[in-house]
Amino acid sequence: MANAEIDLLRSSLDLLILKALSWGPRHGYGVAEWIEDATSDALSVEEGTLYPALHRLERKRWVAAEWGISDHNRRAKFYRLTTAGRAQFRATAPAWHRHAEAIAAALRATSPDVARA
Amino acid sequence: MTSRPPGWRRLFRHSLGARQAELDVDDEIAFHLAMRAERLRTRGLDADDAAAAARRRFGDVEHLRNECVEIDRQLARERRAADYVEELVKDVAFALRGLRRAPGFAAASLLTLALGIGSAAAIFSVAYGVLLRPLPFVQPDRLVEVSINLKGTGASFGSLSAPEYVDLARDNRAFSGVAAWTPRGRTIGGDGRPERVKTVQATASLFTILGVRAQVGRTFTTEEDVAGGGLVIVLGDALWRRRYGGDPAVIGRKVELDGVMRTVVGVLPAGFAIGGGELFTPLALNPAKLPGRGAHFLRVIGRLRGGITIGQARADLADFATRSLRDNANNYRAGGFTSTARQLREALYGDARPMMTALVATVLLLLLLAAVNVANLLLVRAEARQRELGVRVALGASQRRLVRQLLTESVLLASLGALVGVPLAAVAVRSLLAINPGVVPPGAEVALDAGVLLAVIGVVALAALVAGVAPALRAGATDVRTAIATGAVGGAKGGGQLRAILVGAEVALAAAMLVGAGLVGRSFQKLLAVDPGFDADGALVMSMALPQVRYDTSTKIVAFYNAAVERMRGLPGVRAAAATASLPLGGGTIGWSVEVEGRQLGELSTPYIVSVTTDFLRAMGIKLVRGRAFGPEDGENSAPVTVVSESLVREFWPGQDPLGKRIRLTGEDVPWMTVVGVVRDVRPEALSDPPRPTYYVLTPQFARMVGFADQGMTVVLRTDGDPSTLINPARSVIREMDPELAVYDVQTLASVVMGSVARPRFAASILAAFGVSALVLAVVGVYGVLSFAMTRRRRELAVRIALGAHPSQVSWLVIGSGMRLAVLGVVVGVGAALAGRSVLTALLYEVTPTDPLVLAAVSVTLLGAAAAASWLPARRATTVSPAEVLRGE
Repeated sequence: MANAEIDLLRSSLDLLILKALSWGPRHGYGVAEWIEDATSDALSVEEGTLYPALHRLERKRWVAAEWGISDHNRRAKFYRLTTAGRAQFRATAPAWHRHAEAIAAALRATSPDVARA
Repeated sequence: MTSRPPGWRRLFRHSLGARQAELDVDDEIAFHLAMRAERLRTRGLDADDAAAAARRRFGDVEHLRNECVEIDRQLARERRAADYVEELVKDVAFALRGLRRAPGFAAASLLTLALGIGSAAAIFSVAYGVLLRPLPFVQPDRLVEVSINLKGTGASFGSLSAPEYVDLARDNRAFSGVAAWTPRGRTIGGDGRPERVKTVQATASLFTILGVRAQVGRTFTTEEDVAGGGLVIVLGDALWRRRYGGDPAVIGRKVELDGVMRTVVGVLPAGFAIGGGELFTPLALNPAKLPGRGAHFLRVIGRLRGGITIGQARADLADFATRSLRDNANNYRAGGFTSTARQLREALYGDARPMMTALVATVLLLLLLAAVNVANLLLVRAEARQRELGVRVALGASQRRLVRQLLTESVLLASLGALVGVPLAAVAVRSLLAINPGVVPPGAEVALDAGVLLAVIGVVALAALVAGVAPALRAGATDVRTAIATGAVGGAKGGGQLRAILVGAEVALAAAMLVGAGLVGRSFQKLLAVDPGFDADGALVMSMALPQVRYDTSTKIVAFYNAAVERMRGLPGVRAAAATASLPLGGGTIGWSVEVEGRQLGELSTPYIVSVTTDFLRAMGIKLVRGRAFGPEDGENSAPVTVVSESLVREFWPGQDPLGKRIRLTGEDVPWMTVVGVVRDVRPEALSDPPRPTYYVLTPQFARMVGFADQGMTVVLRTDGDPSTLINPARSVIREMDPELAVYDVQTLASVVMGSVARPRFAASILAAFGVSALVLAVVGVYGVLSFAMTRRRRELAVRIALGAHPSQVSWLVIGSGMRLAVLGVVVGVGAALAGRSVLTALLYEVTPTDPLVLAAVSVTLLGAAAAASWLPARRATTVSPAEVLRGE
């Protein structure tokens, strides 16, 4: 995978984490799995960068962390979306959509003269 | 999905050491790697490959781990701060609830704190301004006042004569500069708004040696400060704002001063108040025509030359006095003078020192009393909460937590006290300045001082903290079971003793303050009982000064006052009217030595001269003892006569008949005056001053004898009715006679007398107020401790009653324990007051510091108050129902 793609994904990692947690609390690995599935394993390299991101989100009070017991009966740190985190997700997701679509449209352009409406 | 142990989060938060944070991150990453490896294994990798793949996929484990740890550390720090604030809010809310549940305690503590902080901050601020704040001049500690003591007058720190000043300015070695000034009341007019103002005539050097510059325009120059140099005025800030609206365009304006047009050249900065002057003009001494060496009217200020000490300056001044006496022997036949210097601050504000010292001492005691009282209240409260604290320790509250909560309560109390006390102090300072009976000298910059305020609050807060936290420390150390088991009945024995000591101290402090207040109050009472020598009731006085320009001969002056008195006598209700050049207690006494027929000059003291119109003795109500008063037969051109005071007779003609004796004013070709009457002594300057030999002369005869008349006189009107009803008619008379004349100090004679005792009255009332506050605080203290002791002794008292003790025996038991403390406190306090009596002596008049009446009254008052404070708890003790109490245990 190209470096450019990693950067692009990392910048939207926060948003993906918030999305992953929007269905309920998960531990870090659960988040990673969800992202892996949802993005067809696009994040498979440098998976660990998820953790600083999670801790940063915790510090921003967008997610809250609690230690609990996983399905496999092991001690695991669970993250859940806080009200602030949910609000943040609602605020940034549409913007990300617009941003992505605008860039996609621009990249699809076929001529240097962009038609103005 | 998960089970969360309750409370784990708090545990995590509070036990979060740096090590724990790292372990948690390691755990989290290990979990991830294990899960990933497992997943990979299910896809067919063997264990080792799976683990390696999981790590590869994860990235730089070490780096990511450290990144997470760092973020967690920051998070932990932020949480600790947030927790702290949260806990603080909780503690404050808790403390507020606690205070609301104990309104008596809260009110008593707040009152005490506010009173202590308010009064101490106010008095200390004033004292700082008067006693310590540097004068608003350049290097003020290098400024001294030069004064002389004329031998034989008994007066100290006297003024210099003009020739003496000129000699000093020329011949001294100690000063880099000297300046002279003299106060003079004058009338601003010329615009139909005549106004009497305090002016100061000063040498131009005054401003240069003080280092003061005009805020607008300039001060006057040396060239203007010579005879005929320049008719200029420098305005003081207050007059400039009052009369000229603070308009800078006043520079260059012509202003009529005593009928002479002068030009305003500058405005002095606010706070410049030498001699209380509202306006300054050049002294303009004429070296060729200086006033005589006998006319001592100049206050002199010098700036010490670099490296010269005030001691060296005094030596130099001693030389100067010796030289003056040697060179002008003829002028100092009466015995010459000595000359000395003192700090300018001392000269300007020294008068205020005794009162300030007494106030500071008193308020220190009050502050101490307040601190003790708060400490006491807090101790009692803590003692009462011993059981609650014990329970909380048992429930797992750490000592740290308890200390914090009690600390919060103390700090909260202190803050609330300050919140009330600081505005109280501000109001107190303002009203002190408003009343200001000469307590705060003019020019002393007095304002609520932030430093003083902080220091005072600090003292009280410290007391509150120590007293508030001590019980928590004890609670932490106490065996939990004991505290709960003994409950309200138990408690540490040490606490009881400490409280007893504190209450005893409170009573002692109150006793000391009440003794001070009592002594000063009794002095004031004695002062009021002094017979001024005239009848203060039913008379109105008003002052005026005729400008020299329009009244340039003694004939015109005498004619004006004769006419004024004549017209005022015609006002309805006026029984007698007269004018005098110096009203008793009016602050304008003049000494003029006389030659007594048949005696050597200089043998007798210099008596006061009082120049009056015919009806003066009757208008003032000064009683005639022998001979006759002035009458219509004593005209301007008839043989000069005089009426003398009893004290003059005693000194001049002891054991002889004074009637028919002759005296004459010292001077050239002055005719003899025959004594025709003797009158009672009056108090010339203050009720506390002993009478001095005084002689009365008729203004017209005086004018003929010496060739001049006093421009300024005070008219006295006696009436059968209310003298204040005469104010407007009398003013109109003067306005009709001369609309440009400023009439001032219009007041009843009684208020002149009261004004002369304003300072002692102020001292008496403020010390009384502090004394009463102290009494209240002490009573609160005694009451608080006894009612608490009562609660603790309920069981004992119940047993006594159950065993047949009479209720009165029980109540005496309680009262007795209170009174023991009170007696001890009174003894210690009175002893302390006697030991510190030197603080008060300057404020006492005909009262010794051991005045038995005062000591007895204070003791009785305090013991009575203590008895009253003990009575309520005692009464409750008798109502103890044994069955109930014992069942309750």
